[in-house]
Amino acid sequence: MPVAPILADLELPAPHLLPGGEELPCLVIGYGNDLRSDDAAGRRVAEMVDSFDLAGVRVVSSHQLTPEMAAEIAAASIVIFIDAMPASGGPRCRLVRLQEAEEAKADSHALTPEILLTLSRRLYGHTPEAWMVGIPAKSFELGQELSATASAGVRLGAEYVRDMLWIKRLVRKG
Amino acid sequence: MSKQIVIDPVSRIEGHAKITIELGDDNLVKDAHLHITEFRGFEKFCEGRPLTEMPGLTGRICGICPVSHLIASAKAGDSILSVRIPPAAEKLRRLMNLGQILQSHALSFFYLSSPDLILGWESDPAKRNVFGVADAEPELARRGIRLRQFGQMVIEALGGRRIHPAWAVPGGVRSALGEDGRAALQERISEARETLAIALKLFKKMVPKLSEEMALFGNFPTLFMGLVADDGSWEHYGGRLAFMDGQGNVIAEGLDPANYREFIGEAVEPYTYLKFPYYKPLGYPGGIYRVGPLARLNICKRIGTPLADAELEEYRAKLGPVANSSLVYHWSRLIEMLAAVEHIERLLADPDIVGGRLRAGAAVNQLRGVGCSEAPRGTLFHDYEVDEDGLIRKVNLLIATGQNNLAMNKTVAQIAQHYVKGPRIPEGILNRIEAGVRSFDPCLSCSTHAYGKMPLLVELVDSSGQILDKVVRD
Repeated sequence: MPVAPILADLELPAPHLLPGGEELPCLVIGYGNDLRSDDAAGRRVAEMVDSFDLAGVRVVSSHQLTPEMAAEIAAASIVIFIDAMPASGGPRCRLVRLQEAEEAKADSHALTPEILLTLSRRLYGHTPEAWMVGIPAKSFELGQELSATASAGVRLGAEYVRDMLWIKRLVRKG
Repeated sequence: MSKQIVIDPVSRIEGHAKITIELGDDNLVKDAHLHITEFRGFEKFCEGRPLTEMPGLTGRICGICPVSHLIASAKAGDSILSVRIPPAAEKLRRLMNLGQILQSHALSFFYLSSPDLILGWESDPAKRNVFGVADAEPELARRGIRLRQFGQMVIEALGGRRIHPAWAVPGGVRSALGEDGRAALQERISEARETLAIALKLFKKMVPKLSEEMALFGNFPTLFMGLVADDGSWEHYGGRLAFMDGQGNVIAEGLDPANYREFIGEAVEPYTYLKFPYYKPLGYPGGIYRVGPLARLNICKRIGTPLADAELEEYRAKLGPVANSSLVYHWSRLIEMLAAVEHIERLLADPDIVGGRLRAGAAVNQLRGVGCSEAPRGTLFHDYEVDEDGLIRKVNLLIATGQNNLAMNKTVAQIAQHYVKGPRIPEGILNRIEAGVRSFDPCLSCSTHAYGKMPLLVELVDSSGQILDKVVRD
């Protein structure tokens, strides 16, 4: 997978620093229902990223987004959400820059990344740079297996995320 | 000619509820019904599965209450194996259940109900949500987040994950708490206690202004049921069942949950998938009863921890020995959270928590087992029948929220009867009806777990189907 398109899309702000000069961590949140076939793809990517053991990266794999994640998001310099997205084509991942939500949606069991970003700013005064990596998904039926499309998408997605975080680290070194 | 007001959610993926309000010819409310329109089917598709899978399977019923099902299911499995689990395993299960009570109650109070309580029932719907609370009371909102996080930390420290931990099993639990995990949890106790002191102070200040809602939101005498310890203390894991009436008279106690069919019946109605449990000796619907924090605080003599007992004393001094108003669920939830924190602190100091024997081994010794525990929303029963190989033949799940079904319906009718006086739908009624149901903190697969703006369509139709009035919130 070529790296150049990712470089072109990313903005790389100065890293957020803690009072002691340490950097805030990078946060990766993969979420979805792992008994609903490809809905587990976000979590599988997160687990794969975790296995890369990247320094300064905290990985969360969760069934759903919850309000408490706002506290962790506020403490991060960048947050990458990973979720399954219905796909009609091949194993292409989608990369989307996220913005804060303008108003709250009603259901606490269907929190969106945008709402979490808004909560993070309203409560903690900080919203990090935020991205969504969408993993292509074909099936959301009951089951524990990923489709071939989602399986390929998981590998691709994990590499996307690793490359994004890697590039950020390289810029800091420069 | 009778007329009907229909409140139907516009769109939800999981768990819808619908409310119909029937007006008589005099344009006064005759009746109201809460319809649960979702069918889950767990009791059926678990047939044929091995007993050992049931805690993990039934935990999937919900993303907020998985621990409750995990515990009740494991207890049903204990009964089928005919084992008494090791003391360390029981303490660990208790610890996890307390974490569950804490995180679930925190979600209910701070995220779902606080917008109404802090911002007001008639406040701007665009702001009556978690963002509005974050603007009005940012410190409280932050503390609420950390409190829920603490409850989830307890669950994760034991089960390895915050949602759907596969940890309690028939015969015991898979793992103990590590020393590091224990230390991390102990560090959060003092902050949790402080948060609850602040929240309780805030709520008690609101009580005089909530007198109208206290009188109207599900304020009627019913029975109350829950687990109680042998010494009459607040109980959430073991103990026996007790029933108390609305005047504080204990009408049954020392009941073995395994015999629940002798005193709890389940009625069905054609307009909803949610069954109607009732106290059999009083028949249906006269045997209406409530479960959950309101019931648990009514039926226990004491909590058994100092701060929570002090709060309980003040609560009873204000409300009397028995609280009948469903709005008081919010207050009782706060006291239970404090009780949970104090009990968690005690358990974390117990050496059994980090070691000891964790499982009792056995094969199938009984072909039926009942597991009962207190979920945040009320008493939960898992009733399994198995074959000689331990494969499930039949399942009956008596869910906490279902046992409040009669009371929730009556609450909707009570609120509607007060506010709906004619063929027009008054402003603000949508939120008040929702708030009445929300007091129970129902888990209807997420459908009424709405804060801020539940999408609702309310139509008033006459018997010919003509729409007389309509209110839309999308």
